[in-house]
Amino acid sequence: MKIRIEQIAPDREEEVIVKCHEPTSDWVSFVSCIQDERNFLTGQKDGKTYRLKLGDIYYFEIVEGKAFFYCRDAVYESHLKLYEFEQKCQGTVFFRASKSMVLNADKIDHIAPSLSGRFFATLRNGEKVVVSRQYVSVLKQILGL
Amino acid sequence: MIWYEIKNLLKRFVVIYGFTMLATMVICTVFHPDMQLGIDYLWHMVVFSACADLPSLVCLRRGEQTEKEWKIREVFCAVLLELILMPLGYFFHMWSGIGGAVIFFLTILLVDLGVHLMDYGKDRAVANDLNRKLKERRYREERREREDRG
Repeated sequence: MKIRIEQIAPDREEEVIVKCHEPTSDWVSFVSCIQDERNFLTGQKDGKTYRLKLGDIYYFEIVEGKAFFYCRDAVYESHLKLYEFEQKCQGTVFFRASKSMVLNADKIDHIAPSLSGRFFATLRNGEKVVVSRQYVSVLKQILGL
Repeated sequence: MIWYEIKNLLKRFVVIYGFTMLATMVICTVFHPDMQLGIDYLWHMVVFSACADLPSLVCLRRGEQTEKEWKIREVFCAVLLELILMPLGYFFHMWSGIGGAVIFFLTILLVDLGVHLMDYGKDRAVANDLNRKLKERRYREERREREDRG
């Protein structure tokens, strides 16, 4: 079996092509593993490292120079920078909600404006986060408005 | 983001100008029904509205504001607004005497409140649209989950 890695220009989309005689269950599992890797991140909590599914993350926030993943009931520390997390979530339902937060649009229960010109998003776990007005247009795009 | 703020300043200028002309119409009708205003007045209002927009530059800052910080800044902006517009209004002969000063002072605050309420009204409409879409998404997700469960 030949294995080849080809480096491409940054403007081209990365892709994995498997050339096989027959798509056996082994090959299907292998492809699923690669797909899953892109949908998983690692977070630290109480000295342990956890594998987090991207879809389970409610929001990613920088607090006092440290980065955290906020899930439904737990918070995990991350080594990713804000722009790195944004790059990882490009094309997904995550969007920049403020200068220090990237929010999962699928986890928003409802949104309400405030007199201070910002929006408060109530998440499905009851938590309230701020969405700056300048980033609301991105949420509108994600929701198809 | 600077273009976003400039766009906001221009939008706010138009709203302030509109509200100021409306306030002029109401006050003149009530207190000075025989007054006639020349074309100069329209240009004075352009200058006046541009100056009224300036305090909002104070509210621009790099970091996010907490609710308390926002309230303090709003009070500061309101004070700054009065400090800029009261002398300008006197210069443009928009008020005179203590009674005139009080009415002018309150009109400035009312117009400021009107601008804020207009922004809030627009945000409310945006929030309603977003909530409708979020509800549709949730409904589709629940239906998909039910179908997956069989």
